[in-house]
Amino acid sequence: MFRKLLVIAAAMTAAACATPYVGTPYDRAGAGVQQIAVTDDSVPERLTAYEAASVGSNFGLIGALVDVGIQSNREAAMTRVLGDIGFDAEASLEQRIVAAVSAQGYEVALVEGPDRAKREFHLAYPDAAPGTDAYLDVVVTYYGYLAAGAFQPWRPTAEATVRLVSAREGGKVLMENMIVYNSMYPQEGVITLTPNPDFSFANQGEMEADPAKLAAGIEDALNQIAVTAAQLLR
Amino acid sequence: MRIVFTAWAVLAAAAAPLAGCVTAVEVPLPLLAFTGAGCTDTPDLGTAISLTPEKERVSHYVTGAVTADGACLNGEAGATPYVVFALPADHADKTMTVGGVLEATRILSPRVTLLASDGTLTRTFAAEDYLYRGALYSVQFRPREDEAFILVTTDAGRVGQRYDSIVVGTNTTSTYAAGAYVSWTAGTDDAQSRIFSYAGMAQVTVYDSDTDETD
Repeated sequence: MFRKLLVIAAAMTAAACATPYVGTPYDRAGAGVQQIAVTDDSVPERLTAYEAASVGSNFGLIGALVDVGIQSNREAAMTRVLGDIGFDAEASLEQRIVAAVSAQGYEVALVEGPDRAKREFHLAYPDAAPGTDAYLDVVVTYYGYLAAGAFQPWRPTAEATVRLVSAREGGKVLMENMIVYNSMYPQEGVITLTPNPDFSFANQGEMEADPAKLAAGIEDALNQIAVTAAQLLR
Repeated sequence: MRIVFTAWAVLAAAAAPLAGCVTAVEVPLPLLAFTGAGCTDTPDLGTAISLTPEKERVSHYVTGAVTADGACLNGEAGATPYVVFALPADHADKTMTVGGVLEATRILSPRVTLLASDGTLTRTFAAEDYLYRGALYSVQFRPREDEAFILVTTDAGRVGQRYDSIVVGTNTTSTYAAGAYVSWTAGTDDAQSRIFSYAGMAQVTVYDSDTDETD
């Protein structure tokens, strides 16, 4: 848990001084892609509920340890609340990706495959339907809610990397990009989506009291990522 | 009461000369109308800003101001100011991100087109191709063999539209108390609003995937 929080914090705060991210733009005319298989396991099992500058984090090591416990309990509470209403973030995202990419004129199908050991692109792809030209590999690295600090609003957050890989040309990368929704200090070159102000909560109590809105906020964030990923395949 | 008044008077007197040292920073405002004067039918490619760095680098960026009183083009949708950039000669290994910079109150409403060396149009981009990449509202592409220039004009259809965003971050303040520095980090959650403009700063970011080449 502590390592997970460190990874999220590092990703969110170190971006400002990092090397600019460079994507691989898609050239549809030259790619010859008609049929796309969308790979499985796009969303991590656990959501995040991260308060960046929490009160506890200002009180040294002991405060940081207490803070880890608070953040962990908050994530568990939100996971339970969303589970109670049967919210499935992965199914929501994958359905939306299939719809959005289909709307760009492709034949699209989901392909079942092994779960990822890490939140990284697949190293190899499972067999897809005959005629598949490319795999669309979508990796959500984190999703959930983010507050900048104490007494600041909680808003949905998500980050994803997307890659289109040729099924015919030995794994050639046809497109790759990174998309962030409500990230702190977004990295130069990364596609940046601003949060929808409709999905904002004052505190944890408000979030737990309205699970439908809580789920809708995450769904909206993931939908926007799916639509943006499809736009990259125009 | 007199002591307080005297203290304020002394402070005001001390502060008065300092006011002359403060330089007001003028924040460029969005340009929402453009008529243009002396516009031409084709861009002046001789004024193109070079995108070739002195030495190959993994990434670098070049900016060009699109201004109300600079070069302008006649177009079907009316006159538009423009700036033109010259692609590096060895552009096969380059990826370009081109668009309008998110300035304090405005964003250049960019329309990016690519031209051949003789000025012939080779490529345009649809509205859906423009995305916010960090602080740049931009398109991203790899130049093709026959492309030599990037022309950035203004998309009048987007001028006047507002881009509202929420920016979250943290802010650390330090104070010295009881012989020690104490720092406190607090979260910030700020609403920002910008308007698309005829004028503004255009930027090209060049990424080079092969900086070791000798040719």
